[in-house]
Amino acid sequence: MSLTWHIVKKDLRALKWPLGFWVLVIVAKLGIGAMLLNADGTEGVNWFLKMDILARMLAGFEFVSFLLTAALIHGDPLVGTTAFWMTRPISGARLLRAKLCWLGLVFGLLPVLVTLPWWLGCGYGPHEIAWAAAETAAIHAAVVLLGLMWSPVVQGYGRFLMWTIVTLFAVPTLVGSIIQGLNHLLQSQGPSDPVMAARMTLGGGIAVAAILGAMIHQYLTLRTRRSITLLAGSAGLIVLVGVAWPWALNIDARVKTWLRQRAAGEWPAAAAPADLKFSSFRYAEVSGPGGRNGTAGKLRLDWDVEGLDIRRPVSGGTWAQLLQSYDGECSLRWPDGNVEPVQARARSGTGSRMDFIGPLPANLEQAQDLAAGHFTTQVDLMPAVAERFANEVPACTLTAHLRLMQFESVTPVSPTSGAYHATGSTSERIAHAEKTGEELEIVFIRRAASLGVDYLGGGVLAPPGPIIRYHLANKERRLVGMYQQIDHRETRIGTVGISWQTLAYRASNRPRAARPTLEAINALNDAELVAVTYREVARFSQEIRSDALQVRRVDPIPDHRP
Amino acid sequence: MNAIELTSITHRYWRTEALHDLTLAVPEGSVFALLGANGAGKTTAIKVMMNLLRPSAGVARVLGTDSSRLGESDFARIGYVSENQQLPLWMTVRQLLDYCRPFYPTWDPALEGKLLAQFDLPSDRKLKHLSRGMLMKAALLSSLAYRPQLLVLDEPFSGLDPLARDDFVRGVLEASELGQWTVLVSSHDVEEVERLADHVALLEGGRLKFSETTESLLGRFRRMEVDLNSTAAPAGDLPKSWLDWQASAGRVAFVESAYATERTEQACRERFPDATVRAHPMSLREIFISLARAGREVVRSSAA
Repeated sequence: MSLTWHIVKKDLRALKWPLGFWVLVIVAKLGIGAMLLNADGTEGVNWFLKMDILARMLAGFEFVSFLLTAALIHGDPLVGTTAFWMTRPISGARLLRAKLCWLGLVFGLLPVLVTLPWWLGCGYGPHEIAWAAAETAAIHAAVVLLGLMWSPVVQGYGRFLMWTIVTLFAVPTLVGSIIQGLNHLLQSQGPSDPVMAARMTLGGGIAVAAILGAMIHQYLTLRTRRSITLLAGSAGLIVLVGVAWPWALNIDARVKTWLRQRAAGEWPAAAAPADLKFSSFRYAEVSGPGGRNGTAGKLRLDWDVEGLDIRRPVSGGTWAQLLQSYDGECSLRWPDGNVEPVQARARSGTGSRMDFIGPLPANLEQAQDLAAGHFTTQVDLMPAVAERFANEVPACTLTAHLRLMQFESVTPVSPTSGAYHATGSTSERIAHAEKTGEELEIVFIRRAASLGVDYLGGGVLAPPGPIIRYHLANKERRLVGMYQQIDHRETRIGTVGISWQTLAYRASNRPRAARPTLEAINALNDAELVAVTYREVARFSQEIRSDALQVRRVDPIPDHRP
Repeated sequence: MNAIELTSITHRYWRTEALHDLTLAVPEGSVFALLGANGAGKTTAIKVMMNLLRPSAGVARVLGTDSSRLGESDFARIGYVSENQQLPLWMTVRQLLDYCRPFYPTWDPALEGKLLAQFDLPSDRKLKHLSRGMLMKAALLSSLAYRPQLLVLDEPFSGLDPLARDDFVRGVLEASELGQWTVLVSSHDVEEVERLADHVALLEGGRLKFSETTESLLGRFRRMEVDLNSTAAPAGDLPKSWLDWQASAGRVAFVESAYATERTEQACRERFPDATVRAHPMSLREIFISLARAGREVVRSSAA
């Protein structure tokens, strides 16, 4: 092992300058994150945007690891007969161990160690650090794998780059072209999403196995032609799988199930609170195919909940209890007995409405469809399914994954720069507050863990922590006026999500463009900023069935794009 | 006992045959020169020995091990210096030695220091800033400091100026006095090799022409000069061992490749009864050139 470590140290010395640059890039990116978090709010949202772009560019530079990987391998070439190590007491197996150690240290451990202070500073707990570290290492591992694809079997950077680019371009293009051609020839709609997911997963698995296999083979045997044959054969197999693999492995469903279990976390498999009653759908609206969302149709499902506490704990505010749907599964059972899973986007509809807890603008205050307990779930339909609705009516089962939020407090907040609230990795800071006429403009800078694993299923399944909203209240603790979002930007640095939001508060419901009045200015001076907090009290899944949907067809939203 | 044994080695690069049925033995303790013109197959033969190339046929044994199975423990006993070797140029001489040292259990720091001083190498200078001669000496140093049983030098003089060559050869000679090792040196630079080698083999077109001790080789080659007293042509056929035949008015010169004083004189008297015959010893370089010319003549005549 000492000799292996000796080679690792040699390679660290050989690449110390590029490595130093690489670490600097990571540190600079995290430095930008720290600057954003500590901004005083006067810089303006454009500054935030520029910093965001700079951070993204630096994050792009991190992928220099692709070239560093090739440099590492080419430092002790495996092709040709002139390499220094080949006539020294260094076996291929030892060299392979050394290179793998180096890669693990530099692209696995080093970025984690460099980023660790950032995570700790952002309030990450051990669990979040573990996930963030795994994500950081996984991203670099993917880049390193790309670097390992051709570097062990070709000489020089030129060939390495050329063959990598050719492979990355050729394989997907070939698969796509063949699938298109077959679809055209057979007049078919092509493979379903689950089958495509299975093909991509299998293809990815084959690629990883082939890259590692060819690398190990090359190190142990130095038989370049056979290693290249292994890579080329695997590329052919990937094309074959991409074109012809017929079975869905339910990978997407498995991932979702796992994510739900993860999201359930500290609220495992709870039943719905006894005082809540769920009723089946009232009706469904089907749109499409065609329109703005392409060929996919939309199914809108409406359902009701009784028993939710709809008292308003704060005058002018929303209900004592909020029900937030963070995910949903939907399946259609057709008259012929065929059961078809469809994608339910539960966060739109219920999620956005439930989030609305500010004082209602006048026109919405009268809108009765916001009454507690009425929910909408939107379901994406494949074109063939949408067309089938024209002739048949399926039964529908919706499993909604919900969390129940309970009003906790309303507390005054000093509308001054620096007011800060933090729970674990989530924090919220008033970076800047300024009164102008009848308006109080506040810049909020927020921070939250933004782990990639939460995005695997297409979005954060259940944002952690309480819901806190800031409002203006008068002396009677009645929420007054309205707020308007002036700007909002988000970025993600080192798995930490950072957002900049400017809200303009007014103590009256007058439009922004109107000239300030003395009355409005006085109302603002009399009002105070309060934080309304809801905490999570339950997380559960609820199945809602409808044996016969009342389907109404609506026109899809027209697509005016060229 | 032989340090290296090649048995019926054939190596092809696609359709080109670089080595043909090569059988060769390098005796232990010898300084063995593998000679040949460019493209003769010297480097290919050495690469087969060092397991850098797999032979298409035949077996190579190095220090008793099949060359295709040479492992870490075998390479710890072998030193290899080649003009084509890619040294880690980003290292300083000191770093190169520091890097190599732990791989060799027999590394001798005292010898390293001695050679470093002897070769006059700047230890803190990066290899990429060294001259070609210095670079070869650095490679030689890193291959000598562990007292290898076998030192293989592949075209070590190539690209070196005369002074650097002299330094290098002196380095090898001085180093060889420090230990009992076998040296295999391939080169087309015969003059330098003559100072080093006690065994010589000649490769031509991938085939072995001969392999013998330098003493025997120098002993059996003579440049013969015959002053003719008449213009008569030589009587009878010329022996096959007479090479590089040159005739001018009243004088004939040729190279006898199987010189034995009495036998050669008798053969000359039979063919040139009235002539005066003189035999001159030849250098390795002259022998090499004569053989190369003779080879070309054979090719020409067979082509004709």
